[in-house]
Amino acid sequence: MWDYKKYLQYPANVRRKDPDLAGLIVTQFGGPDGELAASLRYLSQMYSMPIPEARATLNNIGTEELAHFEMVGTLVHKLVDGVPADVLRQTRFAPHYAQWGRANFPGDAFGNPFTAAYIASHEDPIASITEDLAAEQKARAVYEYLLDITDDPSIIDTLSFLREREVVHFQRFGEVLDLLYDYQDN
Amino acid sequence: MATNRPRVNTELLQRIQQLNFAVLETVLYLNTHPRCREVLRLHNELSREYHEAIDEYQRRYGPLYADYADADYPWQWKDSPWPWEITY
Repeated sequence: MWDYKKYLQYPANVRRKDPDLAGLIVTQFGGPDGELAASLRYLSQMYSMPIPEARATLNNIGTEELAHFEMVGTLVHKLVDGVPADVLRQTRFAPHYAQWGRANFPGDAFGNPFTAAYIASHEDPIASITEDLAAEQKARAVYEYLLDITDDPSIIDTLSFLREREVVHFQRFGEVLDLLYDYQDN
Repeated sequence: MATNRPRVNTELLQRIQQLNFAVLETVLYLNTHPRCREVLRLHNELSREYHEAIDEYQRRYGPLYADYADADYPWQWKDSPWPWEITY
């Protein structure tokens, strides 16, 4: 089961308000390669894994992704919190504001709502872990795109941390894949 | 009483973030390298430091876990700063 610790895994500060950027960073909140997708993917796959190394890795990384979901949600929230409506009206956050106000909503940068169609979870463990390897690369790539489009040093710091985590997760899933091949050979 | 003390210590919180992160890294590594004695030792050492830092923070500034056993009157969990309110 899950418990909650009242601190972010890593700081998520912003130097200045930026509703345009909020509407883009939101892709890692509820978009196809974002943290919610990652956590649900791993926390769905863990049940039917045949080896404990796979179960534990999916459980712990899936849990970490929820902490990242909170970090990205914090960035989006801080970027629009307190910004007057007439200012929001002039940004790409305007449709979000019209539908949900300043509340966070899990969706992508186009406003599409989150869907479990973003994830796969297979009894075949090779299929699932290969999906996870691809997911980590895609998430890393998206963080790099986001790093390309902001010069806010606080946000750059947070996105760089999140990008680095994807690289480490990819490494861990690679180890699990090797262990699964060993398991299947024996 | 709970209302008299400072509500947050960002420096100690950052130390807690760092310790928790370091522990997590050992957990992820040990999940696929269960017989690495060195990282296991590191895990236990870091976890001890982490829990000491948590104890100190909760005692001095307020709950980080809803089930903190020495909860003050009046109940503080809902009021102590939420992570998205804090500038770390």
